[in-house]
Amino acid sequence: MDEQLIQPTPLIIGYTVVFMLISIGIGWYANKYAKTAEGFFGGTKMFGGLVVGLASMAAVMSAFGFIGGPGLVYKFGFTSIWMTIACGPGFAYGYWVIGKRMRAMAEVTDVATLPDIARVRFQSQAVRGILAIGLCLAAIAYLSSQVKGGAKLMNQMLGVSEEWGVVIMFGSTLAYMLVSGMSGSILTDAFQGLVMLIGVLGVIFAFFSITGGDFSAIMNAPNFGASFVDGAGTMPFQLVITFAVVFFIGVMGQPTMLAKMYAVKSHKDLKLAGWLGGVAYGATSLVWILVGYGAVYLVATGAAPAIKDLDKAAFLFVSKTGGVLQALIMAALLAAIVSTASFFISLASGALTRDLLGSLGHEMAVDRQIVVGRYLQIVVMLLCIGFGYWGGRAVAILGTLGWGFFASVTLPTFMMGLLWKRCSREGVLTGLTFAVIANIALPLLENFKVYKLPYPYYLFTIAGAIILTTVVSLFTDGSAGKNLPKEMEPVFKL
Amino acid sequence: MISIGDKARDFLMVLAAMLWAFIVYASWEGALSKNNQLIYFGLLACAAMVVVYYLMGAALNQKLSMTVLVWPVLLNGITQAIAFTMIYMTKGEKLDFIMGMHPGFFGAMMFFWLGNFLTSTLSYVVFFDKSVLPDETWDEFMKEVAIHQKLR
Repeated sequence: MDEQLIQPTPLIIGYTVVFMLISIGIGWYANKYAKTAEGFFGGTKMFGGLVVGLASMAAVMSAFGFIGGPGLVYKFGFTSIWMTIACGPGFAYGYWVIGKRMRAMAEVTDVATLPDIARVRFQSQAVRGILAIGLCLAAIAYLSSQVKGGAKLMNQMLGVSEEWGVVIMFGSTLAYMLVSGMSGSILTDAFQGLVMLIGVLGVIFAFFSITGGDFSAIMNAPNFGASFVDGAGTMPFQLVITFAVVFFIGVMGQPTMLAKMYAVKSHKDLKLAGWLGGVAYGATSLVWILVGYGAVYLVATGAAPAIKDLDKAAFLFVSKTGGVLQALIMAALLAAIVSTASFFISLASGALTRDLLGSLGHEMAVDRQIVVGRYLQIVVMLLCIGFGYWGGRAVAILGTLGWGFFASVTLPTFMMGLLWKRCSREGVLTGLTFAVIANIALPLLENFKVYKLPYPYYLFTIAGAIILTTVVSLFTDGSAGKNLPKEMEPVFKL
Repeated sequence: MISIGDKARDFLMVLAAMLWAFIVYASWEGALSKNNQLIYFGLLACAAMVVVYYLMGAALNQKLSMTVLVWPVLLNGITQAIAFTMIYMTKGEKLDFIMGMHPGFFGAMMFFWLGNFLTSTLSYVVFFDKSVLPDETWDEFMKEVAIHQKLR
């Protein structure tokens, strides 16, 4: 067991148990929305802007943001903050650019999953299949990398072993996901988003109580300095490019957001969903920023000893707050992990059940899809836990698949496909194939110390996929230009 | 109103691809040669690319109003460019704080974070009913969709 920075009090344990019971209750209630494939795998056209906005924020802000982010601030200053300050306003930007067209696709065809839209836009089972493989692989890899973070959190919150922590956290998530799928994920995410926002208030109060908002102590501390309080941080400067562009434009390439665009009941709900998601995410960014700098301040002023395990930076800060604040903040951390996990379980099971098999010519009846989807949720969960715990080096390699992988397969498919009539089937197939191969090959090369790009590899894969899609589309016309299905034409008038 | 028709989109998509290529080049070469100025130019290209995708996404039925062109489209690019300039100019310098923040920190938080919210997010709320998705545009879309069978 790790060093116990937080003492599990009855208040923390009680709040956690209530949080989990309410999540399970909401998830079971959502079963009424999950009677069709569209409801179970997509929650399509079912929820208002308030639910979708909060759910989008909760699913996008993960354990990485609440635990990993503050650790990076502790180690490198401002650099990683570019990810989170780009992402918040990127929500509305994404809705400006493709929100209405994604929602419109739910009128043009029956949408349960993202690959459904890709298949219809490009009239291609191959596009559907490759996208499903990409989404599934990235979802499982991303979720696996969250397992240990979740285990550490439960260890700190409840004082249980990490193994029991995993069982409690993912077991309770599965308890409602099996019943209601994506609809349950969206509704519980909205509740969990509220819990996260309450935690943000606690963080703001705690930060100013502890530090007084004084950054000069950090700048003047011999072990930190000016580069810890400037706008670039201590990581190499080129990382600011990657973070600023990939997390501003790339947020519209995240399935956690794309899939919500067609979950809104009416086109009017796009308004509230678009701004609320971003503003709420912006508020939760304060956890990343303030908890990170709070930990730096504590060490810079000698109020706490330096830490080696970066994941402990968040717990170090929380340990200096009072009992009620600890309960609120720790529950917010748990909500961040669970909300993201539930979405990715549903995404991966949907991609396997409906899209991968469908692209191979094995379309199942809807009732059967839901049954198989439920079984596959269990399989996906076990796979992620096993992989997260015993995957060793493979986890380190595939754990980096996440944001960048998603953006590299979805930006060509949805952003380009819905903005540009000339975006062709051949172009997208080329871009997708490149993205899947490069996203696996480049981290392998890095991990085996064969070759490492001087910037995050996913900038290369996203840019490469977009450039290839553009160039090939200029010379081909499958399901593009005059060959675009006439049913798609109205979408391009929006 | 300016027209963002099919030909304009061809041009904008090619321009976006070129900007992506330059951003990768600036990150790569800038890192290898430790040329922060080249990286700064790469950052400016990011701001330009935001504008390029905006032009296509914010157009309604291939038309973009001048109001939307100025705010949020161009202003979004400008606020990002100001933020990038401030962090580049003040990187690693021990300077007087502005409102309790290092000038680079201030630039990132005020011009990138808040600036982006005031452009992309606030404008989305203000313009939604008029320029993002007016009811009549959606109704027209639904009428056209109703003519066809659902696409399989």
